[in-house]
Amino acid sequence: MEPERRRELLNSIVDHVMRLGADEAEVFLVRTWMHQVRIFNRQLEVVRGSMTEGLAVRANVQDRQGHLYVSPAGISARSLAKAVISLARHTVSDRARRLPRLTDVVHLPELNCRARSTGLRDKADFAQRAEAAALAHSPLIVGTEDVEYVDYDQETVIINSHGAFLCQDLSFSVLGVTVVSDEDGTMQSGTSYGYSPVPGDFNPEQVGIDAAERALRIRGARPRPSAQVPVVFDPFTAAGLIRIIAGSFDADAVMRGRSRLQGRVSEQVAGSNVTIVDQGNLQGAPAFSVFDGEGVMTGRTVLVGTGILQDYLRTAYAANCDGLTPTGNARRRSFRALPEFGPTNFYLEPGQVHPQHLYNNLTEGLYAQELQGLHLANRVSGDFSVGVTGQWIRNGELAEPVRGITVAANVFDLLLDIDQLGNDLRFVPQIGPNRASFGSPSIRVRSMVVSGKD
Amino acid sequence: MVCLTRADMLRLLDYACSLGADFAEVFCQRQSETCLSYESSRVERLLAGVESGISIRLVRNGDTVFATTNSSDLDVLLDLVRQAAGVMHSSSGNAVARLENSALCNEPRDGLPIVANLIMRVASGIDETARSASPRVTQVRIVASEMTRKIMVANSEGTFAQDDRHLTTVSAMVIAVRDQQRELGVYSPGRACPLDEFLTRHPPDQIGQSAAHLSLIQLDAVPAPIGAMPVVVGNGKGGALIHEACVHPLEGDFVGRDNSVYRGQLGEMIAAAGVTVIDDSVGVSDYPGTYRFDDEGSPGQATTLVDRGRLCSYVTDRVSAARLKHPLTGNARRQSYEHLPLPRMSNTFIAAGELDPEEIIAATRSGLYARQVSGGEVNQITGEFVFRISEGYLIENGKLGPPIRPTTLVGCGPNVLLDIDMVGCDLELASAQCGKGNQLVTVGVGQPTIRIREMVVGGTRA
Repeated sequence: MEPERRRELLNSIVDHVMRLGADEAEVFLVRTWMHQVRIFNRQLEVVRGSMTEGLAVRANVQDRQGHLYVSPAGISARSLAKAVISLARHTVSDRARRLPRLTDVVHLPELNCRARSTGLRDKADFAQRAEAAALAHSPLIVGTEDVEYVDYDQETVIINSHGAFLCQDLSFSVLGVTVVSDEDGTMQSGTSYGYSPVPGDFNPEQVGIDAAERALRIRGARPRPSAQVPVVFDPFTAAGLIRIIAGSFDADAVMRGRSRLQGRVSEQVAGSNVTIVDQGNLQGAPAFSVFDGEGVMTGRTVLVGTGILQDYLRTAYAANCDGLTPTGNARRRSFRALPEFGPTNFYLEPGQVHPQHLYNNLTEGLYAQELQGLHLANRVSGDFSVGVTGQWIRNGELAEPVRGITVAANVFDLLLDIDQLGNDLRFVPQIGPNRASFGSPSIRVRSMVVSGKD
Repeated sequence: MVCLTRADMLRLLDYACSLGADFAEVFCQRQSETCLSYESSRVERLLAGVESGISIRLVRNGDTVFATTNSSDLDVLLDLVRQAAGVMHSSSGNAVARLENSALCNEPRDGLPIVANLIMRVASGIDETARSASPRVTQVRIVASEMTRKIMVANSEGTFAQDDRHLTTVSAMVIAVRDQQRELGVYSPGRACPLDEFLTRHPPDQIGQSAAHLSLIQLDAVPAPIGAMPVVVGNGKGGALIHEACVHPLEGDFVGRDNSVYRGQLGEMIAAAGVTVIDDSVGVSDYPGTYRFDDEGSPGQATTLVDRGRLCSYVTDRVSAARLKHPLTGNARRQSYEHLPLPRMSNTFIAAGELDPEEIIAATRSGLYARQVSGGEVNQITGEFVFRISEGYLIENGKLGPPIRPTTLVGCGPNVLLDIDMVGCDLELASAQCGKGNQLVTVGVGQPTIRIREMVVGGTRA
């Protein structure tokens, strides 16, 4: 359908909603093309292509907001308007629910919609190269579990009753490789990722080799006794820890007393070597987007600068509550979901030193390569307790591989206890659109209790 | 009819086979949902939606091509089959999947959900109960959703199945405060039934009290210990243990790729003799893994996976059953039409034993009692797994001591299963969310009270 015709149809939905008594209306249309290729044993095990279209309508009636979605989008404007107005009437009246005052007309050129135009054979080839490189890396690599390439194009249109019309078209591709190593019949696994906004614009062989290296390093891992030692977290594991407290920067959570950072702006909340940033318009980063799920332009927010809390992240709702500007952090996980707080590219800024320097002066310590149970951490208090697989550090070297141990602590305390940061910032890419991406360099935590088995 | 008539589905299947597929399947889904968010004692957000979609799966020589769309236009679907078949034949070259259909200009259709007033009354009931549990409760947030899904699946081997499903989930999050301490308790039951039936199993005050309890108990909790020790795991959601430690690695796709810690062990003793593990999608009334047919149209069933310690079955879907030459166990599930079916658990539990649960605690000189569990994670390749205790107590001289702060236990599945040395008689089930391959499904988990000889506890008390 031509863009003009589509714009007319969306505008007619807004008109219907307004005519039925709404004070504000917004229509959100998203079309997502996703392609997935899964390789196993050099064979193309699965090829998947999908196109999903969804439309969501929001209406504010005397500051009561209703939200309705349909997929596919072909439902009469009148029915949609009636239903969403009826939903609105049941919610509480809240001035802060007013839509962001967007009036822009922003039609971004197709930034890099290569996903739709790259052939499936090319995508399969890409994944196969990663698998081949992993398997060739060492005879101790006995197989792969998960070699998957996914890319997507997503076209988003937002139209509202203030006259705004925004449209963006984004692409993203990610390759995940999990590789299996063997030691006398006991298996270990290693995972790595590559990603790029332009599909396939990274080195698949390197991803395969990196995953293979990770599987080899922990081959034969065994439990060990409890200890209290410095712990070095590699970028993936450190990013997982940072993620636990991202919700504490949600201005709405702060307002509702659900954040430990409430009332602490301008206070020291982390070591002076810690800077935490959220940036939605970071070029090349996995969660790049020009505008957020409500049409507000994304940007860069320094949340913690040299240890001092600077700011929170605000959706339009939070911004309306505290009279500040939104930061472009309203995310719709899909057309089904309401716009809600979401980090974008949320990361700990790197330090200056090569990651090796984080352990090469330690007599003893733990190097964590994989954590289990991160998703079960307490996001309000910051408490976590996770299973760890990695290597014991002995006299400055990465020594015997370990597993079956845990570390438990609190992320807020940990931020005050980071005594070194590496220069190796990496993001963990999300598999799928509309999700946050977390990043970190390697970090060393001064001292942690490691629980194990004697 | 769900999106398509049976005749249309057969036409698509015939076309796919004529283009060279060994197996073809069409899956149709229509779904509606209402979801409410209740906070500060008011309905903050209310959302409703309808969604429908179709997927087409072709298999040739064990390899799968999968395409999904929202369109129910037969011409569009026939074209989709043609494109998928083109991809299937590797000699087709560099096919570009061209899915351009948009329903925006289609003939408009009606049928939107109406708001359920019941869902709002439920939320206010939970809110009242949670707040009245203690003056220390400062915040209550409830997210409640009711979803109805109709599916229709047909394949080239003559299967044709329809199923109507419901899923109601209510999640209550309570924050309790004392001085600078701020503790979160979460209780989120789910059932495969409409909201009114759900409420007979989980009345609002039960939900409110349970969530409040989980937050309040943490205010007095002591640091959890570290090191290895005996652990008594409570009934109900304690079944997350067996879900992670045992049954994920039994899923046929991992076994088929030779990447399961239990590969090649059918017939072997993988657990203690007192342990029988069952996966059942038909016989445990309306726990979330209940269905008449799985998402490939195979009938649901009860499967004994481990019989008195001996491994007797894996968990399979069509692809893994064929690859492993193993019976089909009716465990193909998908998050939605947009996703490929994978072998997944339905309702999985350890069967009841004989012991009184109080005897089990009394028989434990020192260790931990995990009364409530909030979830876990497993690496099915290595068997390493964790699960999180949301309500736990020290055991001192056979008696319960103070509550401990939430903590995580870590273990290796094969060792832990063999280390289950006591099995109680108090079987109960609960609901849980299970993530695998980027797909989330709701499952039932369960067990009686059991004791594990030794697990490593991830506390902070040195």
